[in-house]
Amino acid sequence: MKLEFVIEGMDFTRAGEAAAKIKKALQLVGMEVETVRKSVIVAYEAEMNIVIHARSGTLTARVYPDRVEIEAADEGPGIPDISLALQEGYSTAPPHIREMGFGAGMGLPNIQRSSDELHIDSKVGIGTKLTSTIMNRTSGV
Amino acid sequence: MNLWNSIIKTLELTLQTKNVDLERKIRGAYCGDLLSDVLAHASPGDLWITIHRHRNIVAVAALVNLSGLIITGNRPPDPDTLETAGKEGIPLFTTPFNNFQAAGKLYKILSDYSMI
Repeated sequence: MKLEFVIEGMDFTRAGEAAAKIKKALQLVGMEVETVRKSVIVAYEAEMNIVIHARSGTLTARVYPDRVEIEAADEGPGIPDISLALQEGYSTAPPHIREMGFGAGMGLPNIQRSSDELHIDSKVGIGTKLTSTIMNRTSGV
Repeated sequence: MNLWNSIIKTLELTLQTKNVDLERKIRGAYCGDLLSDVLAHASPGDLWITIHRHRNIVAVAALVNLSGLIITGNRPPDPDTLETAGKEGIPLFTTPFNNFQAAGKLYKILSDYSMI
């Protein structure tokens, strides 16, 4: 199963809709609760990163019996130093975004903690592609 | 008095959403104003205490499957926040208390109910 969503930069009114649809789809096909929880964190944070930082992008979820792959590809400013961006508390979000409770430098660390595998490719001035894999582990085993 | 009623009375809550029944089961609570923190650390069934009143709090509440939203300091929620909360069936309240006071009162109630 593949779900794909177009995300517009600075569109805070629809922010979170893609993550909500991914959550419903994962619950519908019976993925483990923990898999859904982690996938929701990755999907929402990746979606918000596009809304906050990029001009536009796509959020794609590919669902397999043993895993969920979430890909966020955007056209935007890119990340000059990925290891710095992965540090908790580091953020380039402007003050008005922070006032909304975003931009605390927790997004990418949250994604990293919830991912079994994470790849980030970024070109400054062009855009960023993030690919996260969340394994669907059977609970209680 | 049931749990919802105890909380509504003690925290002086005003239910702002219309046509949303208090059907969701309260399992705990979380207090915070950083959305990423709430998304990562709140648990399903938690009541969320926050100062924010924009609609993105509803998106987070729905994703985590929280039992309700409490906006502190009597800040009025944005109209589209209320509309989204109504659609999602998430009860949204306001309280005159600040985050600290509201959290303290709620902690006491949940302790009395042996929930924490």
